[in-house]
Amino acid sequence: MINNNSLYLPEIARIVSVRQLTEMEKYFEISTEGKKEFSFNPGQFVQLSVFGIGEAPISISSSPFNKDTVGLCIRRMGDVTTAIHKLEIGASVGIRGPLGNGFPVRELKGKDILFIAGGLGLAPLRSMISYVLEKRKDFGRIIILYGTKSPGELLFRDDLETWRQIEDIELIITVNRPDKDWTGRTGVITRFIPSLELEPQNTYALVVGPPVMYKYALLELQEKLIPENNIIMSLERRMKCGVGKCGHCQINGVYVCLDGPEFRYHTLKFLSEAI
Amino acid sequence: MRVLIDKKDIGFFFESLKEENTVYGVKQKEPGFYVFDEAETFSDPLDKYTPTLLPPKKYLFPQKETLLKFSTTPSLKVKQLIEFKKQVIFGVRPCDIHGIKLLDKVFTTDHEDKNYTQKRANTIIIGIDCMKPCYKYAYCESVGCLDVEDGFDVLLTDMGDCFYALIGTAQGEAIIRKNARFINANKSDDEKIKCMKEERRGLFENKFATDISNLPLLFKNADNDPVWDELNDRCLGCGRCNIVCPTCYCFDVFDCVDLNMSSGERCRQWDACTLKDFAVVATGENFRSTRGQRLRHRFNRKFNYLMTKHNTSFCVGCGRCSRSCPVKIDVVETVNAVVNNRKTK
Repeated sequence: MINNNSLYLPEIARIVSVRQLTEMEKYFEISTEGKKEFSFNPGQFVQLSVFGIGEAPISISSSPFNKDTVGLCIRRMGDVTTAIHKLEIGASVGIRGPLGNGFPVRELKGKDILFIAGGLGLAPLRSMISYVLEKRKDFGRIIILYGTKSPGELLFRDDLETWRQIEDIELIITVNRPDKDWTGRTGVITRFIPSLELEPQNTYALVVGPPVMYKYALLELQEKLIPENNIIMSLERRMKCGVGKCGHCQINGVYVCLDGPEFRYHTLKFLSEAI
Repeated sequence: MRVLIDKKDIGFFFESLKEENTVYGVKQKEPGFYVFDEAETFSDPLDKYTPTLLPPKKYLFPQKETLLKFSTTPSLKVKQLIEFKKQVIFGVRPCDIHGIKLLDKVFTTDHEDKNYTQKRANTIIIGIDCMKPCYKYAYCESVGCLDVEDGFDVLLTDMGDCFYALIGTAQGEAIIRKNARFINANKSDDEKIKCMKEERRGLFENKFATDISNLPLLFKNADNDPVWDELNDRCLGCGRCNIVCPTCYCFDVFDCVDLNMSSGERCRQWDACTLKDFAVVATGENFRSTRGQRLRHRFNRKFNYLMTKHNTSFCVGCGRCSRSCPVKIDVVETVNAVVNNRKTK
C-alpha cells in the first residue's frame, strides 16, 4: 500500500464518525471516500496526519472485513492526538499505510487464541478479535483477558457487552482500582492467567499493553508452558517515517515499523532494549 | 578508462563543469579546517587535506528538507516535494565515497526514498584519492574504506604534476570527454599508481585491534560491557558525533505552518540517536534513557545492527566524530576497549 513514488505523501481522508469512548479516548472512523480500498491485516497501523500539527502512528482497531473505513481508537496524549480530538465529522486528515505486518493470521488458524489486552492495548487487538469472530469456525478456544486501571477507562463497552453474550468466548474483565459501582473482577490482569486451563502447544497468546504488563504476562505465560514462538506482543515506539528510515523505532537491530509492530517472544528475548 | 589531466588544466575541468551544474568543492574555512561549499575555482588542499567539518552527505540528504507542501483552506490540498538539481561534488575522499555508497543502500533498501535517490541520480562525484593518513583520527584502513572501487564518476589521484583520472561510470567518461583537457594514461602510469597505492598501506597508526568482520559478534555480546558505563559518565549527549557522521541518517519529521495559519510544509531534519528524547514514546517511557545506552546504540548501528543488515561496515573511518567530540570519546579507543574486554572473558 505504501507507494515508493510517494513514500511520505498521505492520502487525504475524511472523518466520518467520532465516538467518545472514555475521558481520554475517542474512536474515529476515517474514509478515503472510495478513492482507495482499505485492505489491511489485523495488527497493522497507519500514520495519521493533522496538517500543520504533524503525524503520529496509530494502530487500526476496526475489522479488516470493512474496507470502506478504517477505525482508530486514539488517546489524547501528544500534539497530534490532541489535535485529532478537536476534529469533528467531515474534517480532513491524512493517512499513510497500512504499515507494519500485523498478526500472523494464517498461522493462528485452528489454534486456541488467548488475547491479553492492557488498557489501550485493546485498540490493536480489537481488529484481530473482529477477525476471529467473523471467522469463528477457523479458530479454537477464544479467551479475552482485558484489564484497565479503573472502570472509567474501559474501552469499547458495546463490544465488551456483545462479546459477553457470545457463548464460545471466555471473557475476563478486570480493573485495578474499582469504584463503588464496580461489581466485576479486580486486580491486575496477569493475576487471571494462572487459573486458565490451557493446552500450551495449541495456544497462541496475543499480548498488547504497557511495558510493565509484558514483564508479568511473560512470567505467567511461561509458567503455563506456552512456547516462546506462540507469544506475540505488539510494541509501541516513537515513529517518524514508518518505513524503516528515520531510526526512531529501532530496537537493537530491528525496526518496529518494518519488522513489527508484532514480535514473538523468541525474537524479543534477544533484544535488550525491547521491554 | 583512465586518463591524465595536467595540474594546470584541473581548474579548467572544474570550471567547465559549472556550465551545467552547481559545483561544490573543498574550501578552507579556518586554517586547517575545511568545508564543502559552492566554489568558484578549484582550491582543494590535496595533501594537506583533513576531513571537512561536515561530510558531503549534506548535498544528498540536506540538514533540513521539505517533504510536503499543504494548504488547509478552502479545502485540504497536499502535494509532495522532491527537490533536486544537477550538481557536482568535487574532491570527495574515499571515506566519504564509501559514506555515500552506504546512504545509497539505506535509501533504496526496503523502500526507495525518492527525496534522496533523485538528488543522488543528479549528482556527479569527482573523488580524490588519499595517499597518506590525513590526520591522527583517521582509521579508514581498519574499516576497509581506504580503497574505493566504485561509487564515483571520476577518481583523481595526485601524481605530482598531473592527476591520474580513473573513470568509474559512463557519466564520468562523458564529462571527461566534454569538459576536460586530457591525454590517455599508459601502462607505466597504471603501474605507478599501483605502487603508490601499495606504499600507503600500513601507514595508519590509529587502527582496530581486530578485523572489522569480527565486530558484529563482539558487539552483539557486549551489551553489558563496562565501556558503556564509563562512556555514560563522560558523554554529554550532545549529538555532535551524529551530525558530523557521513553515515548517520536518522531524521525527525515536523510541520511548519505559515503565518496565515492555513498553509505550510512538512519537513524532515537531521536527528541524533544520542539525544535524550530520541526514543521516548507517547506514554513517556524512554527505552534508551541513559547516555551510555544511547552511545551503545550508536556504536552498534555502525558495527553490528546495520553492518549485519547490509553486510558491510557502517563506519567509514573518517574520524570526524572522534575529532568533534567535546569530551574526546574516540571510536578506535572504544572499539578496542570492547575487543579487549571480550578477549579477557
